[in-house]
Amino acid sequence: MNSENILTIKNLSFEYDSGFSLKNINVDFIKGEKIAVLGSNGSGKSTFFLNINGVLSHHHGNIFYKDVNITGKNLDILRKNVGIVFQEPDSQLIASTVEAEVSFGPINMGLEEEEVKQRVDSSMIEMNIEFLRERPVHYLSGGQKKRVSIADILAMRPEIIIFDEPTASLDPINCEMFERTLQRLENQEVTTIVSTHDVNFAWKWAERIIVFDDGCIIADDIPQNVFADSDLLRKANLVKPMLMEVYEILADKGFITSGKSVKSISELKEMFL
Amino acid sequence: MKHNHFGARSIDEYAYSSKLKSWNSSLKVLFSFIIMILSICSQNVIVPIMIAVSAGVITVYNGKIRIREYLSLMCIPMVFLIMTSIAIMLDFNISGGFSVKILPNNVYRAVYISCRAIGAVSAMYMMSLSTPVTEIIAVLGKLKLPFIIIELMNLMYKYIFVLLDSQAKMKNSAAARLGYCNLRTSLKTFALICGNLFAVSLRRASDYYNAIESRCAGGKIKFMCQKKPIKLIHVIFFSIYTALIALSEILLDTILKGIIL
Repeated sequence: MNSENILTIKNLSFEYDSGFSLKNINVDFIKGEKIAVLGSNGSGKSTFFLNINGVLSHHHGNIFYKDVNITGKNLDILRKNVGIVFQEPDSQLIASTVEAEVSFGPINMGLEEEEVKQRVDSSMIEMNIEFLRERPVHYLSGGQKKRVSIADILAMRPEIIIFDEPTASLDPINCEMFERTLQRLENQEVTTIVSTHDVNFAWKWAERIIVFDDGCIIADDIPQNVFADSDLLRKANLVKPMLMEVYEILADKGFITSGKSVKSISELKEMFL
Repeated sequence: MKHNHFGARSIDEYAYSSKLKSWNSSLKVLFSFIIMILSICSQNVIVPIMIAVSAGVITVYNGKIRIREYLSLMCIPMVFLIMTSIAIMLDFNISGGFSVKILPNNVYRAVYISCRAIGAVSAMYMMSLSTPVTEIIAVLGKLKLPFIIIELMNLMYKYIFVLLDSQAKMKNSAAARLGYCNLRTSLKTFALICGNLFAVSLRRASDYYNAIESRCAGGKIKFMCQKKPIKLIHVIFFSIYTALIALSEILLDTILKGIIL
């Protein structure tokens, strides 16, 4: 096993009482990776996240956290080290003031009071919500609530952070702030998993893409390969990223040399300099 | 900040914006409670009126809450008081023909009860308009109330706002589809929204459970509490205030007894 492996999932299966299930999931996560998870609604992404965070306990297969086999008894290891930022801040935020809210995770981890305070302060500064410290959570705007919900998880300092459709309800300015947060997490070598429907974002940001369909992982590869596979895209109801398509057209017409991949507008501009 | 003419929400907003918010919450709860008891137990009408005026001045002047807003909040209990007073004042007589009388004795009783109630309400407003609900709950926690009750109070308080938001959204979307065009439709829409809110609450409950458990809660809900040290000057302020009220009660009591005797 690779020494950098944080989480290894082998033959994971899970079934709800209502019947929906995850089937035979095999995947591992390495320190500092940037992973986008794609797949239509109800394809099993959220169920998978709750499994690797330890809220739902898996029925078959194994989850290893750094060589520790996770069973029903040590689920707390997962909860401490894998954090989820839920899609709806309103279903995540439970305290009445911002400061109390951010302190919830660290207190549950059983940290000393000083340490809790220090972590709460630093993650509030990180998310730029210091000035909201004593404000009641229920009077914040949507974007502010989202920032608080991210600070919640940052304060727990997990090794893996999962963002479940983070940009779904954000305006462009808050999206930009979110991308800067991802950049900082990358610098701190935190493994980040972002579930999204935005293929353009996935293309620009991710270094690995996992595609879910009907409870199974149907692709786990670098973005270039995933988006080049048109059968796969059709099966998972995905489209090609705009930049990739523009690049292909330009290469096809002979304006630029093919064989490279362009991740951002500025990279495309550079090719014409 | 959203503005909503729903009483509970505005009281909550005032508590967060009050200048008295930084004062130690146990102190505020304790003294407001003592003042309230003094008002209820008072034997005359003057002390409750003094309490109503002074507590109002503290809330409005020290707490920096606009006097118009304070008075409009006071109107809410007033409606109940006026209706009760009318019931106390009127004396119905059914035997030997129907007659309604107003007895002077009953008028005095109605005024006396109203005054004590207004005093008590002002004392309670002094607390609730300066202390956010979560801090009041924390004080109750210090009084060794069972943990489960404290936890439930916190969660209920939080989710009232989630419920109100959902209801507001449903109401808007129903109105956008002519859901309130006449009385019949309005009633039907109201019933649909009630049912829908219940269904949404049930579905959301499992989301909340997931979110709480994903952060290692393990069945207990605890938060960090902002420490607000007790300041000597605040203790002195409240002590003098309470002593003055208690003293006037005793003095008035003796004077009034002297007059009657």
